[in-house]
Amino acid sequence: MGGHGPTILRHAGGVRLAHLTWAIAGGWLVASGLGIHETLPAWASHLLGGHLVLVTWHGYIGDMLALALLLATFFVRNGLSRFLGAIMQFHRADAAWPLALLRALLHPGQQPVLPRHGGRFDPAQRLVFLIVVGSFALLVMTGLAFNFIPTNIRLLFAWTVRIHLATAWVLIAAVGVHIIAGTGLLPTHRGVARAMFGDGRVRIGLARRLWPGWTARRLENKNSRKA
Amino acid sequence: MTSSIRRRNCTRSRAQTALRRASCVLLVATAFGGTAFAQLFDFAHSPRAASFQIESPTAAANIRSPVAINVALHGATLGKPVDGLDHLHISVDGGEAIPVYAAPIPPLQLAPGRHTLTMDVAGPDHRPLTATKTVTFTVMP
Repeated sequence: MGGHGPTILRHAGGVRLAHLTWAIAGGWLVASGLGIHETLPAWASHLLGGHLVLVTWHGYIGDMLALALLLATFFVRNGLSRFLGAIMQFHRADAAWPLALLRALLHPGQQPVLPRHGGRFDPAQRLVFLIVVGSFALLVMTGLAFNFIPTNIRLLFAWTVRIHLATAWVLIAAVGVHIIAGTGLLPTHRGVARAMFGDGRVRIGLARRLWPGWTARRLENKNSRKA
Repeated sequence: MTSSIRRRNCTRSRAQTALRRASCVLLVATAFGGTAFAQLFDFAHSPRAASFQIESPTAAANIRSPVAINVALHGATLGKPVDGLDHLHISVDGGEAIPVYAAPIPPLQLAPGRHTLTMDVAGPDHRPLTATKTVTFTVMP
């Protein structure tokens, strides 16, 4: 996981801890949701505690995560606002980035060349995060709606369940892409897992390849502080 | 030229700020509004008039495995939550409750001896619509 050469801090301890907490809670919600929907095999649902445990804890953890989101909007408003700002910026030139990534993945022998961008997150990452945030917001909305939609209004309840399920699949797909990139499975992203699951640092060469503008700004700030 | 770039940047930054604010408002409204609404207007969980009878196995019956289960439902329809329908929770001898979404209920393979069947009807939100009923019977060798 380590790698050689100089490194740069990508994620501070608080961010890594929050990410881990959300990953565990989100992982449980996905697993229990699949269990409730009987997408998991019976033995897996049994292993997770069975139908009643899955139903109870899916709702409970979901409500807790919604509450955490509410608290975050009050207590880490700046961080949340910075994150939303960082993922909501798109420029026409960014469209070339995912294509260049695809080209780099299809030609693993060559040195990957990715177009320059100025974002804290790369354009593909921004798109994935936008899908994650949007689908998560819709999941929270529909999940909370289960608490107050009368079950005898069958059609409304059924459509809320359908939207919740469809949105969950979108989120699972987006998180799947995030996991593939974030664990460093792609040759272009090798060593990136250390930023979230290690000491929070990445090799400068890797940072320059994936987030050139952000890296330049970070190094400039660091140098100006030194001076 | 410079002023036009500045104006464009300013418009973009204003749009981004508005988008950011709208997202924050949406997140707060979602989390806070939804929870508050759920607490204040808990009308969803006023019990629906649903009931059921376990027709077989009957109490104290001596039967052979596989055990057929027949239930008469009133005010509830079996089906998937995705269709807004209800389901049964069935548990044998205090074990894990198994959801049953469709009739006929699959017969139970049980070892000889006394057994207790516990059952309730749950709505599409998985909350119980009825009280739990139990029936004890004996499976003969």
